[in-house]
Amino acid sequence: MSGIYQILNTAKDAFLASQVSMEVTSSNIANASTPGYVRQRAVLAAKSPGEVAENATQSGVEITTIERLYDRFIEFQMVGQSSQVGDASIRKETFDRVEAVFNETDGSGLNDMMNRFWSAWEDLSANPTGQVERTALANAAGNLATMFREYAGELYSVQTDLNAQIEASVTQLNGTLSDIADLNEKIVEGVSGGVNVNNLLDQRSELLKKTAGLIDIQYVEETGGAVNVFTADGRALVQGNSSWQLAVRDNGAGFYDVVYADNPTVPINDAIGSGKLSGMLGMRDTTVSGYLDELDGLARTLIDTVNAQHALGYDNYRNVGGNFFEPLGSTGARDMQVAAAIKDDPNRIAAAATVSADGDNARAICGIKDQVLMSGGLSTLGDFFAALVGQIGQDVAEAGRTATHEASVMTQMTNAQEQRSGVSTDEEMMNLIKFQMGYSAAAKLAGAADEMLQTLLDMV
Amino acid sequence: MLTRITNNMRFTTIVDNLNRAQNNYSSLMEQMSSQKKINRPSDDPVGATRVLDYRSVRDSVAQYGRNIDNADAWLQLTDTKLENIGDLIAEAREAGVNNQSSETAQVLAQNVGSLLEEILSLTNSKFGDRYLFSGSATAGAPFERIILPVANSANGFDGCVYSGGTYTGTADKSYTVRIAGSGAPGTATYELSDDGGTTWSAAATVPASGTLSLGDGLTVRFGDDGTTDLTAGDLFYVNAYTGGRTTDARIDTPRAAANNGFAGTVSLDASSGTYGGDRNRTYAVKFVSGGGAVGEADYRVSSDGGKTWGAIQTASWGSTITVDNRLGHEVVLSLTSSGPADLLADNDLFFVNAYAPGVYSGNGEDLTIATGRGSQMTYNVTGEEAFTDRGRGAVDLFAALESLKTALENGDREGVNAQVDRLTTAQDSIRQYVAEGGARRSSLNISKENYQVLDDKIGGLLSETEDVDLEQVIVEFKMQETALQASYAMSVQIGKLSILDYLG
Repeated sequence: MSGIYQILNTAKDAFLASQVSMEVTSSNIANASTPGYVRQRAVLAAKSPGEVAENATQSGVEITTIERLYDRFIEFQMVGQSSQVGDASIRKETFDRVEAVFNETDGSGLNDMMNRFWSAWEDLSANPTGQVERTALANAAGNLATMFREYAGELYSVQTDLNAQIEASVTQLNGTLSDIADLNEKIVEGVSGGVNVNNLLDQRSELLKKTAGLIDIQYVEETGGAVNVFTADGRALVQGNSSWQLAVRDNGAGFYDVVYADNPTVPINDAIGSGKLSGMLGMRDTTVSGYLDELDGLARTLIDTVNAQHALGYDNYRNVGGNFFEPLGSTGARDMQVAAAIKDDPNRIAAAATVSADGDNARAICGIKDQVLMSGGLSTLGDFFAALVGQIGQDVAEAGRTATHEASVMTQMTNAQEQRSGVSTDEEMMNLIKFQMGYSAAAKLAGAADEMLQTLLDMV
Repeated sequence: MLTRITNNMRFTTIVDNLNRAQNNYSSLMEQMSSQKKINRPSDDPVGATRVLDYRSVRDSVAQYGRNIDNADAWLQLTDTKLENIGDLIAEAREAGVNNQSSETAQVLAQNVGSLLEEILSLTNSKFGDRYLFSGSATAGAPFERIILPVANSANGFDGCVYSGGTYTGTADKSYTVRIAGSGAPGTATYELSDDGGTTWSAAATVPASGTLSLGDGLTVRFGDDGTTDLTAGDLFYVNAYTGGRTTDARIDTPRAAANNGFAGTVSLDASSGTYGGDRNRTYAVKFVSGGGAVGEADYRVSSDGGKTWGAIQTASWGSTITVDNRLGHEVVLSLTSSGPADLLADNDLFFVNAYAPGVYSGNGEDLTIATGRGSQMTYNVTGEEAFTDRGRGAVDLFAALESLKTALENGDREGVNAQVDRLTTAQDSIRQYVAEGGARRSSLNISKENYQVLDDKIGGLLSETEDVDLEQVIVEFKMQETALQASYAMSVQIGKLSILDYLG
């Protein structure tokens, strides 16, 4: 039926549409800076005339949905990129710490201590019975051992810090996973009940990115609105409203493995290919551990070679040279010490090659610095260490570049998503004006209809 | 394509740009304050490696420089001492040449005696705590006052004569041995005077060993290295000084290293002969394979003071170890444990010094220093080569001086002339060592100058690699400063722009 009442109905629809649009605009403006907030839009549609009447000449307006304006595919990429960024950023952070340990540029690092150690032997060879030279050598050796221990200790503490972070990250990951499961439940309920779940969806996609920042994941959105989350190799983390908790377990070497809480004997370290956890595990078990191995190898070769040559000489009491460095069969750098006997009495340094107190053995030990003992007979101890420092510098620079690159890829993706999902206050202002005008127009329409009715009634 | 620019995008971009400008700015600031391009290895990994390399090389170069200084100082002192000794030898020669009348001979003999004392003290010169002329055994004095038998120049016997034993007399004494009946030891007879030939003992047979006792613990041994036997009328003079050292081969008391596990004693076995080597040697015995009981423990023997070792000996050895097995010249150590539980431990070390006949107590080892990677230089002159008959001149300086003195005292004109000739040879040989020392010093100085140049070059490379080019950095810094200021200004301007300003 067409008529004045119909005009009033249409005006009512227009009021409602403007009002809801204004509400959506206001929520957009309020959340202009909220991270993860996705711009919303009230989708208006003309009411099909068929619904009103067979031969109606007018149609009202209705709000079909409140749309979340976002790109599902960019979102997918961003979740993946979060893992890359997480991985690269943790590596960069750790590398910065490692680099601080190996800061040899100010001339008081391990390289310099080694040089001083060799020099002290040479000085002793020039005056093999000199107490000053002997004490100076014992000190230089002590400093060298301390420096090795410090370097190794710092590297080890980087490892233990990473280990602690792994535990904390697993706890954090468990939190986000169970939050995702909770949100899944609410979203499924909301969707089936026809409630607007846009804010929940925003929260969930933030959580997905956060999760991906820790560990690389795959996820699948189901028709009911839930997402299922899997590890990169397909192990379930979240399914519907339930999540699988992860845990850490001592791997027997004092470090944690990541495991499923309900299957604590099977480490899933290898299943983690990216994300902060991967970065931490990789740095702890491969990179830092590798540097530590190289440092240990260097220290061990130094200890063994010096000890072997020292044993060929004779001390000031004409004893066969004992161990210069201790302990024997040590891991290398971490527990390197000058032998207690030599620390207590530098006369026990075996500087002589014969029992007549010459300095030839000291010279022979000093000659170790020019022997190619490392890298299968290709480099000297000093070269090896310089190469290690160079390697670390290279790795740090590389990690910095990777982190910058991954971050800038993420920025590009964010910008791409932001283009679609972000709130532009300018735009919202224009919308505001538009909807305000619509509201005024609807009022005018209602007024006109009212006048028409009045006129009609006055006729009676 | 027209893109939507949202608030977040605008501000993120501004913040990113500001961060970048700040980073550049602070990195340049760090370079300016540290004056270094490389502040951490990642700034320039290759450069950082090179810097470490350069530093090590510079440290080595500085060390070589110190070595060279050390050796140079040693050589300089050696040169001075050798020159002084040369001058004193010249004076002694002078005395021999001036020997014209028997009145002056005694005075000249006294002169030679005091010159000998002076030379002795010069040959025992030290560099710091170390004896210059002891070889590598720098802890012990190379020469001592000696008791030297001097043969009369007219003697038939042409073998060596050594003094032996230890003189226990309380005053200096002059012994004279006169051969009364010709023959080899065991046949020949001799008379002995201990007052300079005034009174003589009854004739007695020279023992077959060739060693006869003079009294007060002092002995004389006639060597079997000559061609003519002792001949009647041969005269031998021995000036005995209290505390003087005899010249025959000798073996010190064996000693044990301080840290030995073995608590028993080590001594020279009675079966040891007279040391027959022609150089001073240190024999050492080291126990290996975990040690063990006396007579059973495995050991190795070294005849060069422990530098190189012989094969491991595993056979049972009773209580004695022969470290030198030349027939008649054996050196045998005897070990006695202090109780049944006293075992030899791994690395237990025993050693004994054996001295060849003569006056030298040091060894013949060189002292060397590294003057470069893989290159070494010997910087000492051993007393053995400079002052004994084992050296280049083949003249025993002290024997020549002692002989000259004795010949003067005894009016042996032939003997005096012979000794003057020997001293000339000794002097020439010492001059050669002085010249060689000079050559070594100048080569050291050349090395040192080369190192100076190398050090400068590497210093330059180091600076080029790690030091900032200040002008360049300042210019860049100014540029970054301007950029940062522009960023600030722009951020504020753009950040403020909004449609709100235009809405009524």
